[in-house]
Formats: sequence, C-alpha cells, structure tokens
Amino acid sequence: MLLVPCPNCGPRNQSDLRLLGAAVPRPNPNTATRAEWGEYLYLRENPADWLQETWYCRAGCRTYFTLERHQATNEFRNPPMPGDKVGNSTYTTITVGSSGKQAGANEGDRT
Amino acid sequence: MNVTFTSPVTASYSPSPDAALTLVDESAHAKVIVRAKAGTPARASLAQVFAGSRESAGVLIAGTRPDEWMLLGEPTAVAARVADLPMDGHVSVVDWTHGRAQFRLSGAVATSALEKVCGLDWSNDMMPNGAVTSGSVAKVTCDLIRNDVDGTPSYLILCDRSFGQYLFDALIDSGQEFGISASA
Amino acid sequence: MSASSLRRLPEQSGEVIDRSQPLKFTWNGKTAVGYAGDTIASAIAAGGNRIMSRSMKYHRPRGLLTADFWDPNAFVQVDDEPNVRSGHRLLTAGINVGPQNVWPSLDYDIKSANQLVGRFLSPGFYYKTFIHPQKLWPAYEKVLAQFAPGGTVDYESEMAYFDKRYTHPDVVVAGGGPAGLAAATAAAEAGASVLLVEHEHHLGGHLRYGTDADRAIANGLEVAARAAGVEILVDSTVTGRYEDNWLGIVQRSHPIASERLIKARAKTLIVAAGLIERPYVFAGNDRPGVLLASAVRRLINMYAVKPGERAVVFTANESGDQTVEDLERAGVEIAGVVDARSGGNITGTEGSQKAISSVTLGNGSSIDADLLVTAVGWTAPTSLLNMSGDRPVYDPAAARFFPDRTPDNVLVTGGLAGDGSLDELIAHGSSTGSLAAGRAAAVRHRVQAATARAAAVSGPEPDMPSDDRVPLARAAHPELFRSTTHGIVDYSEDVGSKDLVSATKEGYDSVELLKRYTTATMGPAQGKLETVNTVAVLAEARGETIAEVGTTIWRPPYAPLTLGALAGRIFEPERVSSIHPWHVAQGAKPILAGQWIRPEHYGDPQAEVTNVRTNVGIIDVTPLGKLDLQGEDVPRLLNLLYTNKWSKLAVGSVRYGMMCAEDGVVMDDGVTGRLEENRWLMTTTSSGAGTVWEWAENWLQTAHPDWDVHITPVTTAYTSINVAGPKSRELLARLTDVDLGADAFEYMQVRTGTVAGVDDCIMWRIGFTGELSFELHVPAGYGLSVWETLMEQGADLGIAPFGLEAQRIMRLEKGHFIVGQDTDGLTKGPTTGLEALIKLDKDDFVGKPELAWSMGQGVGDGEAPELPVLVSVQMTDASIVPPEASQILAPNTTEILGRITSSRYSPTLNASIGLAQVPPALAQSGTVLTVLLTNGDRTTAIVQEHHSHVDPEGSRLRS
Ligand SMILES: [Zn+2]
Repeated sequence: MLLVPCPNCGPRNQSDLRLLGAAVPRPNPNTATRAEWGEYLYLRENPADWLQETWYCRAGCRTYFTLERHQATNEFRNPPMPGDKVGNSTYTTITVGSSGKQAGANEGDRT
Repeated sequence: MNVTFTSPVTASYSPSPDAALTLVDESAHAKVIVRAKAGTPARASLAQVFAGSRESAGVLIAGTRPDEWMLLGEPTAVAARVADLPMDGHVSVVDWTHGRAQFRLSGAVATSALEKVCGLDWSNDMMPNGAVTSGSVAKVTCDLIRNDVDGTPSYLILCDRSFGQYLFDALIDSGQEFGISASA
Repeated sequence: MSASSLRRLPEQSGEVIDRSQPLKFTWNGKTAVGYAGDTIASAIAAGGNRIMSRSMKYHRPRGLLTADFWDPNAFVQVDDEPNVRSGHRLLTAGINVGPQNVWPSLDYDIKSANQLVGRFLSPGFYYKTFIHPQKLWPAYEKVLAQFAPGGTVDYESEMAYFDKRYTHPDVVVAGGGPAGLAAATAAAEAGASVLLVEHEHHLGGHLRYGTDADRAIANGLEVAARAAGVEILVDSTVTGRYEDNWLGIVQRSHPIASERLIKARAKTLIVAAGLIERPYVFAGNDRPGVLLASAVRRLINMYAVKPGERAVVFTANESGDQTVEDLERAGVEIAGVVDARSGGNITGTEGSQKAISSVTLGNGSSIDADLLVTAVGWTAPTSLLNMSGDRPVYDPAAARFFPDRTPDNVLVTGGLAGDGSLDELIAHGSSTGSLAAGRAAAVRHRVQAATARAAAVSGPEPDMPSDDRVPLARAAHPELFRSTTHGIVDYSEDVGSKDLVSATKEGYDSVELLKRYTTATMGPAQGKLETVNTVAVLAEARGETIAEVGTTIWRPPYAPLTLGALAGRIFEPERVSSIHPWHVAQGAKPILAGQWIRPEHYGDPQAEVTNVRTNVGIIDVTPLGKLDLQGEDVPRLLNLLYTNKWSKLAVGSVRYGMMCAEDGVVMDDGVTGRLEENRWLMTTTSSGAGTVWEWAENWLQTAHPDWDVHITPVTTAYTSINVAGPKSRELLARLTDVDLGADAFEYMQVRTGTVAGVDDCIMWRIGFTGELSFELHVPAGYGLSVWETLMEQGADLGIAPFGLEAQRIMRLEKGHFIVGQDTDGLTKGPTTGLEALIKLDKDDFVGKPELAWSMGQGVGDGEAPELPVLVSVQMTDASIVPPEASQILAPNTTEILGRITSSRYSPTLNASIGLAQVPPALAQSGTVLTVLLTNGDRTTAIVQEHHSHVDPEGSRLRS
C-alpha cells in the first residue's frame, strides 16, 4: 500500500485516493481531428520513468492534484516523500534511486 | 401539523455506566457547511485554518477543506453564527443538519477502538486535540474531529445520514472488547 | 525400538510446561495427557508416540522433524479444524486431535501403496498422465481428490470471529530473539514507539532452548524491552512487507479473536528473524527418529521430552555439539558423534517404516540407534528482505545467504546479518535499534510537517542517521546439503532429490521452473526448510555453484495464514432512508440497489401501478442523487457537463439533461432546477450520485478552477418522496401553502415551501411515471414524519405506497430509458433518441467531438458510424415477457442484431412491453423483430411509433 502525498492531507494510504492516470491535455474540442481525440481518449505513455499523474483525494480532502511518480519504483517527487529507497543512507535524496521495489517482489504468490 | 425529527439511529440501546468507552448519537445537532473563496470576508470572519477546529460562542468551527468549514452545535447558536457571516463574494452556505449523522466516541481507549476500523494514524502527534480530517471508517467516508472533553479523548464522527445506523453499530462492535456504552 | 522410547523427563530447568496443570485430550482416538505450555506435538511425543502423520503423496509415516511451527510432518486435525501445526499450537484441554493423510488408520494406510508405485508419482506425473483426453478430466478429478492431502473440512463449523487493527509504530521489529529484543529496547529507549512481533510463543529465540545462562540473558532482555515500553506480540508473524513499510501481521494470540490481522505502517522495519535449521538430504532421512538438533534441544529443554534412547549425532557446528550435552543430560545414550568438520558423513538409515534402527556412515560402517540428530547448518529466512526488494547473496564460506541491499527503512540484525558471540549479536541489535529510531524520527518529523492536522513540529528536520554499525562477522561453516545418497528435500510436498535431478534433466533447470514443476518449496513450510537444499541439488545437477543458480524470490506470506485472518472483520456498509423503519414495519420486500436497501414492493407491484394510474401513490426515492450547486458560474458548469443548454433556465424552472463522457457514451441523466439566481439543485441517477459528484468536481478543479461554483452533495440531506397519480394535487393541496394550480405551478417547474408542517422543502413537478406527480425533497430528519402524514391525509383518496418494481413498470410504460440498463458502456448519446438535446452549436461540452462525429457533423471527413437505436417494442404474444438482455436475431439465423434492454408486463395496457437496442434498419415503427428466448424458442416483437406506450402526448403529467 503506497503512501501518496496529498498536498492537503499529507501522506495518505493509496486506498484513500483514486489514481486517474497520466495527466493528459485536452485537445480543442472544436478543432481536434479524430486521431487527436482518439489519442487523448485512449493512448497513454507507460514509461519506466517519471510521469505526471492526476490523483483524487477521495476519502480525504476531495481535491484533484497532480504528482510525479516514477513508474518503475513508485517514488514520488515534488513534493518528496519519505519512502523506500536503496542506497546511501540519507532520505534527503529520496527522490533519487530505487524504491526497493522489484518486479514481482510485492505480488501475492502461493509459495 | 405534528412534526417529529427522526435520528438516523433508530435502534435502541441500553447504556452501561461503567464502560470504558461511550458512543453518543448527536445527529440532531445543527451542522452547516460554509464554502468561501480566498479573499472573501467570510473567511476572515471564520478565522479558522484548514484541518483545525475551535469552539466559539457555542459553535465548533472546523476547517474541513482548504475552502470549507463545518459549523456544529445547538441549532440556535449555529443559526446565529451563520447569520453573522458576511456573504460578499463567492460564499455559499448549506444546512447539512439532516444530511449527516454525528456520533461522539469518548474514552481513554477511544483511539484503540478507532484503530480497528480506520487506517489513519490516531496518535497524539498526528491527531492532536482539535485536529480535523476525513477518512474511511468501516468503509464509510467520515469527517473526523478530535474534540476532547475535560481532558478525555473524544472524537466526533460524521457520515452520510443514510450510513448512520450501520456505522453506529460498526463502532459499537469495534468498542466491544474494551467495553462500550451506546446511547441514541 | 519401541515407540515408548519417547517420554516425559523429570523437571528441566528451562521447561515451559506447568506440571500443576495437566490437560486431558484425545490423540488418534485414545485419551492422552499433557501439560499447560505443551505444544500439541510435545504432548503427543511425551506420550510415547513417534509417528505424527503420513506424508501427503506417498503416505509414508512421519515423525517430528523440527518440533516447531515449520515442522512439515506434524500437521494434525484438531476437532473441526484441519491442517493445524501441532509443533506450534498449544495444547488445550479436551481437544480431539487426529492425524492427517491416513486412511483407514495411522498405523495401516492403504494409500501408502503409492510408495510402491512411486515412479508413477514422479514430478509432473499428474500433468503428463491426466492432461489428455480432456473430456476425462471430471473422472480423473474424482479419483485424484481421494488422494488430495490435508485434513477434513467441516461445513457445519461455526463462523469464527476474526479481527483487524491498524497501527503506525515508529519501529516494527520482526523477531524476538536476542538481537530483536536488544534492537526493540534500544529503539524504545531512543524515544520510538516500538512493536515487536515474535513468531513463537516465547521470547529469546534460540536462547530459550539453550543453557541456563542463555535463558537468564533472554529473560533480562525481555524485562528490559517491557520496561522500555515495547509493545510485544508473541505467537504472531509479520507475514508481508509492502511499499513504504506497509506490513501485514497476523496475531494468533488475540484474546477475543481466532486471529487478528494487523496492518502496520512502520517508519522503520527491523528484520531479526534469526536462522532456521536446515535438514540434511540422504537416504532414509524422513524415517521417524531423524530429527534436527534444534528440535531435540527444544523437546528436551523446553518440553522435557526424551527424544530417544540411543542417539547418533551428525554435527557440523556448535549447536550440534551442545545437543550432545543435552542428550547426555537427558539420559540418552550417545552411540556415536559424526563430525562433519573432520570429514565425517552419514549416508542413510535402516529400520522399519516407523522407526530407524541404525545409521549408515560415510565410511560404510553402521551404528545401531533409534535417534539420529543432524546439525548441518542454517537457512537464512530472508523473506521480508526479498519483499523489500533485496536479492540475498550466497556466501559459500558461511554456507548461507546474506542480505545484499535493503531500503534505508529496512534494517537487518541478528543471525540474518551475521554471526558472532552473544554479546556481539546483542550489541549489533542495540545499534540497529538506535539507528532505526533515529531514521524513524526523521521520517516522523517529515510526515508530521507535511500533514496539516498534525501537531506542529519544532526545529529543523533531523538528519537521517547514517549506518555506522559495526558489521557482524560471518562464521565459517561447511557446505552440507546432500550426502552421497538421495533423500527427501521437501517433506511437506514429498519431493526427493532424485525427483529434482530428473526434472532438471527434463529441462526444468531454472530454479523458478523447477519449483513450479516439482512443487518443491511450495508447501506449507513456505521454503523455510527446503529452499536451499533444492537450490543445492539443482546446482549440483547443473554442475554450477549455488551463487550461480541463485534462489527463488520469497513472496508474502512469510508464514501461511488463514483466509479468515485475511478477510478480517468484514465491513459491508448499507444505506437506508429515513423511511426505512416504516417500510420494514409494512413488510415491504427489500431489494439491495448498490448499497441501498429499498422496498421492491409492498406485496403486489401490479396493483401498485394501477393505484398510481387511478388514485395516488407515494414512493421513497431518497437514493436519487442530489447536488447543491451555488455560484455565478453554475450555468457554465451545467453547459459543460450536459449536452443541452442551461444559461437561460429561469428561476423556478427545471430541465432534463443527459451527460455523456468524453467518448460520447451516456454516463448519467436527470433533472436540474434553478432554485434561486445562483443556487441550483442537480439530480442524478441513484447509482450515479457518487460518480457525477466526482466528475463535476474533476471538471471544476482541473479544467476550470477559475469558475465560481460550490458543489455540495445533499443526497441524504433530503428524504425524497414522489407523490404520483391523478389525485396527487388534491392530496398535496391539503398539506402545503404552495399554489399547486396547473397554471401557477407548471410541469417542469420547482418550488420551495412548507409541506406537512416542515419548512424548506423542495417540490418539483416532474414525472418519471407519466402521471401528474410532485417530487418532494424533505429535510431528512422529518422525512418519516411527512411520509406518515401523506399516508394519513391520503387515506380517503386511496393512497398506497409503491416500490421500485411498480416504478420500473411505469417508467417502461412511459418509455423512459435507464442509464446502465437500457444503455451500456458503448451507448453513445444519439442512440437514446435524444439528438435534439445534443447542442452541437455550444462552444464546448464534454464529449462534443465524439457526439458530433456520431451525428455526422464532426471535424474531418470520416463517415458517421451506424449507431444502434433505442426503440420501444411490444411482444406479439402478450403472455411472453422475454428476459432482459434477450437477443434479437436476424430471422431464421443465429446472427445477433440487437437485444431487449428492458421488459415488463404492463398492467395498464395488458401488454408485454419493452425497450430494445436495434440497428437503424430495424428501428422503423411496425418492424417485426425476432426475439430469442432462454429456452431456445423464438418469438416476435413489434417496434412502436413512440417510446411511450402510455399517454405519448404527455397530457396526464401536464394535467
Ligand atoms: Zn487530501
């Protein structure tokens, strides 16, 4: 369960929020072509990198806000959060490095 | 015409005086929501920052969102406070008295009972007296206000009126292992 | 040797049993006695029983191996509970304990014939043998189910009470051995809130079954931890570690619950899980009488059970050496000590299925014995580190895995981190605890500073302390995994080293594949005993080192837990209106609609319809979504969310609107009224109330934060009552001073006023039922009062309540569609027939481009897609009401063209009516549709001219 830094409520459990996915700009509805509109509706980047996402603080302050989250490590930046980090022993560079999450490491498994 | 107020909690309970926890249905109290845009005089008049609360002339003023306040208390006191509010600019007032169930859970071990139904950190540092937040309690989104009474931890829990009976019973169940006395 | 060689010893200085409290129980059908403090297994063993169970695949008799939680051979049935770990579960009086995997009895087991045909049960046997032909699978399953392992489930068992709790300690310590206790104490003394979780019943780890001096140290550490204010849970396990130190902890020792699941958010996690002794692989290593050194020490020192009469000890370490001393003190004859450090080895055991009689050594000689103790090294249970992203690294010099890199909020101490004297381990624990507390304090400062409601923090953020602990050394240990013979590797899955070698030869030669193919490490021991041996056998077969082969990733849970614990207390919120007690008292049939409990009907929905059409009826429509909208820019918001126009709606008027998403799909509909110049009330569908609120907030906050609109959900602030029927005006006129005259209060208008003595009511003249009707929104606390007054005052007018079913019939008679019922996730706006409400000349609204394209008026040259059309239908045979979602087919084919979306019998028309989605070619009035019924029959339906079957001109609702 990720801790998500709500700008109003502080760190909250992910289950208190709704992730709306990447923040995508809306094309001009009066000039957009079908291709542009289709891209806005359906096509999303999935980079193993930082991505600006929209969150809704559902159970908390009911605010929509955007955050940068690293799609491979689950770290947040702007604002930085005390979270998982591997490496040298300071949290002050929390926005750098890996969160200690590796593919599959947190999936439920029978064994 | 004969008009009677019905609380969202309609079941009856027999209080046990020696219980460590008490749960009281305060749904009949007045609850008014004020929304005020930045820069409005209403905001200055309320003079309460987000996520905190204070008592003023019998009305508890709680900063529930950055631009939203809840005014709680006896109907006449709340009405008087609302009447005093300058309405210039983008300010709105909604009477939520009937829209919310309001419960008060009190007792030294109240946080232990709340920890069983809510994932928020209820420690003194994170939820000091006066703190205001909202969160999921037994899967119902609630407004939560710490409002100690004579030094004893006490929490106001407000939810959608329709969930009232369910939540009241969930709180009783949660308090069972400590001993809880409910009155509605 | 006889089974009675096991028995209770005289009092031992470290025993945890209370001899003043004998407990009677039943084992395998016979009365037995143990003491309070005994595990079920120690009590059974003290009674002279050597065989605890039979193995799951070959049904070989098995005795104790580890005598603790992980014992793969000690699963028993306790009363109605299967798969109880008898090496861990404490004995209680009166329980009925039986062995598992035995049929018909523990001593004589028919299925042990599997042993003779073991080659048929080689790895992958089930896959290979039974996969074809597929149609025989049901038959295979029946036979195989007889051989399925485990105990017996009693479906009559009562529901147990499971509990749940959240907690947010600064530091969680997983493991209450010497290092864990020292860490917890140091962290607590540094000001941290600390939760220590110990898997076993007693604190102190291996010291608990050590010498008197060891125990004295353990007791001192425990006293210090308690004095420092550490919250201690024994018989509890940290089962999983997830992002940001979200931990699952199962507490088995809770006083009021069978099990309690604790979800903890720790600022720092200290993993001090210790080491788990590893079995040795050789021929006959699963014969009863072969035990690990730690098991023997536990049995003697904690439970005062003599494990045998004549022992051979195979030792590679100090723990094995100490076992020799313990055995001697317990009066067990030491027949031989084989020391691996000076080249000694064992290759097998001889004896019956039920007990060993001799041990064969590496030099070929043999020694008579009824007990073989092995001490060949340790497995590092790195599960929680794996779950923290660490990939432990194998060190051949120490013959075990060590942590590599963990996140800064996960620290390791104790045997997992290294070796050393007890003092060194304790010192390492202490410095780990201090470090953890320092890091937790920095995190707490930051979290508190970031949280508006939290108490103010003083001073600057503390520095994150760096790790300057003195690392623990690693003790040399010989690598001992498999002897020169083959034996069992995974006791709980009955997988042998020979099976692993043959699977490797078949090509399953990566560790993850091998595991899944052979099921080695996948049993209830969760790999704690067998993972390293599995890897070692694989490495040997591949001619590689263990480090090269690597290990499987340990995933949650650390130890198995019940599904009950995972489910915890089950919260299923339900919502009711203020009139609910009245509905219950009237015997209304309840129906669950989302979270709402609503009256479906009060006995006869058809009669309820007729009464509304002739007299007056009332329905509780409280779940109808209601949003209070205030501010100058409300019309702009409405113009954006709805497809139609709102700017010119007059105060006191109401308009219907349809909302579509950005893909043009219908998402909600409802009426919105202008109560005052800058105050509006929007209604939504009952199921869409929450979604529309979030949707509106989303557009407002993210796209138009400059607009002055405040949205407040008031769904349950009002009790909503629809008063419908030709006599509704007459009834309401008795209760309100609002002018209800047809000219003063027109159709699609809204008024506020006093109703039945209640101020601030809102009254709409709208009609979902098609009749003259008034929808009342009454402050909810007075809802029941108003409802009762209506019933009372309407008695002479023939008033009767009606439920959801009657309302559904009437709306269908009227041809109103329901979003989500008559529309689906692909239904675009124009399909509903409301093109006239889609105002493409507006500058912008949600879904505009999609809707424009779907109406052939969009940007670009693409053709308009052929959208389905929603039409009203009547069945040619009025006695047939096709189920909703019945398919509409092309005649004489199975080609699906559309479907019936709603259907009901209409008591008003005595006809079978419905709505259907069909292609445009079939949408003309009079078209005959072929409808497929569930029994395969076909029937026909005729497309109607209007959506509305009843009063298409709307004269009734405008009356
Ligand atoms: Zn928030």
